[in-house]
Amino acid sequence: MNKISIQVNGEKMSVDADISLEKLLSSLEINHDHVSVAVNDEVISRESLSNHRLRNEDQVEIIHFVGGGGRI
Amino acid sequence: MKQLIIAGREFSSRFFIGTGKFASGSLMAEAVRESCSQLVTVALRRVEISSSSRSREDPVISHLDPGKVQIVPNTSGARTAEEAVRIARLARQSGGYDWVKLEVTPDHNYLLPDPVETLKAAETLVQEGFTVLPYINADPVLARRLEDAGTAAVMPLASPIGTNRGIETGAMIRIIIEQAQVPVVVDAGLGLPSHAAAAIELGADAVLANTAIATAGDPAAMARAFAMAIQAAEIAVDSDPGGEKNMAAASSPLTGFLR
Repeated sequence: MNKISIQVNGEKMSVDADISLEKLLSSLEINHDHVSVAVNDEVISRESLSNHRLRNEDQVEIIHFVGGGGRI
Repeated sequence: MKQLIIAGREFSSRFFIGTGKFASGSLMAEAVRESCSQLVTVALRRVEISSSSRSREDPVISHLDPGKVQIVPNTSGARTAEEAVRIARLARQSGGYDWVKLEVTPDHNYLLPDPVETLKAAETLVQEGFTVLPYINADPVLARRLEDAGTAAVMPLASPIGTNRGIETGAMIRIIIEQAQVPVVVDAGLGLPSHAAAAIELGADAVLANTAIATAGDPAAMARAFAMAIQAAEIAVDSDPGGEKNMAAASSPLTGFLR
């Protein structure tokens, strides 16, 4: 299968072309109930994770809220 | 003291809490409960990608009741206006949060906020409909500029974040309070309940603390102590305290001495 190159939280990765965000999260063993995912700065809704396909050079951010006051 | 209202929301507690550095989510939740705080800040961070280094998931949001507390994401970690705006937008898109505690701190040693970048970010975020609470150095001119830009409050620092040194910027905070038309929230560096009380006695509308509570041996007890001190100071301000004098003024009668 063709591979594409993406960045996930700043780290370069090579993944199968056309991989969905849901697959990417499960391959990284991340529970998608607790995180938000943005691709190229646009947040992808939870319902769209399974049908959002990644493309070459996509920048993926997987983020979550943590405790924070001032900078920690 | 006049009622604390920020962006149309009324707060019966003048105590805001940062949720960082707590040993666990449940300790944090207990401290927030004891504090009676109605506004807490949270941070947005990247999830660790390699599962081996990932800390055990304990989502902070699950410990907080949005019906009871206003959850305010901060932009901590941002070094420029652009980064801060991006974090605020992501926070809004992720959870619908449109209040933001704006922090732009490029300086690693003292975590002092960058005034130029903060103002720039504030202008953009206000235009995008955010309720902006900017963290600033105690600079009365900057506070004015931010207020003119439409921020819902200003949050001058008492001393650098996490230092527990109390109010080192008192003279400038006094001027900010004198001039501000928006609530003034004294933030950062408050290490003890007496520091928080001093801020309210100066005329601040509210205070925010995090490190002092989170790193105390008993965070819930410390949260309660802060809340009591803040309430005491509030009552004191309402009781119209007598002013300071240079020379002594006897409090016992000056007649009928036994000599």
